Amino acid sequence: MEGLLAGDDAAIRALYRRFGRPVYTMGLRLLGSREAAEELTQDVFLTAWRKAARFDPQRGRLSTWLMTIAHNLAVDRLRRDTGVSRPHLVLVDQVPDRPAGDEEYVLIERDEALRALASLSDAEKRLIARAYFRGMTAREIAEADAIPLGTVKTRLRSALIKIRKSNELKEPS
Amino acid sequence: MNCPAVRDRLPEHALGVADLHDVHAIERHLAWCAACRKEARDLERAAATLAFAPAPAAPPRELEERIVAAVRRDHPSPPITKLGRRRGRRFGVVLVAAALMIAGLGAGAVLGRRDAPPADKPSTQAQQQDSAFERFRRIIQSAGPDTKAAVGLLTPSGKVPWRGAALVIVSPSGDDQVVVTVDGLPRARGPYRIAITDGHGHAVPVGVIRRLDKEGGAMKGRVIARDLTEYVRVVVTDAGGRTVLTGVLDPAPPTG
Repeated sequence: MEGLLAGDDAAIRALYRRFGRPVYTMGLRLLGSREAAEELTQDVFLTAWRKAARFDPQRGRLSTWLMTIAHNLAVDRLRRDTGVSRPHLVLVDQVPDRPAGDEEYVLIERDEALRALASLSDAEKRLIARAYFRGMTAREIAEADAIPLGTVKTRLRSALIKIRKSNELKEPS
Repeated sequence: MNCPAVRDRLPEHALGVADLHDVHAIERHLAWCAACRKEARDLERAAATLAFAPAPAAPPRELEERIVAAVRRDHPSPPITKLGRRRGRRFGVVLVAAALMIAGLGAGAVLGRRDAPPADKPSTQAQQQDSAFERFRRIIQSAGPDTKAAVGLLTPSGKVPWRGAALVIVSPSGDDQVVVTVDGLPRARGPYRIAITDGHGHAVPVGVIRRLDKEGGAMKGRVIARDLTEYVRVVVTDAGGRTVLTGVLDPAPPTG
């Protein structure tokens, strides 16, 4: 991170090698095309470089910070581009057989994410997927699924709390 | 927006799908409410976990090079207001120096000293700072061999997440220049006034911050038609005249 603050090429490469794949994956899942995913990835790392000084390790992990930037940019774009095709969501898929280097880190993160998702009910999973990966607001989900807005909000909250608890279990702190 | 209303909206906020109008109100609330801020951070962290859930897809190999090239080309240029176009070259110097402060020296190397644990990575911190000062030295040198500069951290008196940095460029042949950056300030206490003072009770106003970005950040720059050599303290006060940030400027490394 220090290198990123100094605009150091090696630091940017290291950050990309660690998070390039999940950022690109998020772009692909939310935006539905390789071109849009590549643009998003570039925008995310540029934004990270510009905002590097604001990253505060005491407020959260680097992965949280970077993936929040990625998600916010992706949702902004998704909601702006009205013609975007909504991708088919695949949360669980074949994992590459022989990960190497920083890919291992991504797979560990993925393992934790899947474990957290496994703690959710089917209804919670569905709502979380619609909000996080399709950029739908609680009101939009309520209208699409014909369920009360309050129920959607309650389920989103309970789902995030379960994920948080799952994270706490894996972090000995 | 009160605490119950904010907490009702925090899940959507954490998932990045809150209404834009709500986002602004929520972030204003989070700027001063520690309890809701903690809840928001926890939910954001939970939401960020989801980012790793989809099966990984491989980006094209050349994307890394494109991104490194894009970052190299990028020149962050946060706006400095009311400096005037006719100051052309000197304005450019301030802008570059200010950008450097934001990107590498002020909020990076200098503020980084406070952010990073002091004991565990001394060599990394020293390298970071050396690198930032070297870049800073080159920028100042490009403005002229006699140009001098001083930099300083701005800190609050209490345990609040406010911070800032200041840069003064002193030129023997022209107007001197001041750039101040702040971060994490609560909007509710603004507008904020910035002044630079000497050791004899004289103060020169640098500017008024009327707008903060969503993270409580802003930058203000001013060209001042006087010698600022003796002006070594920067003070930021809130709307009620209370000091929120202050700091002493230290000479930057020699430019020769």
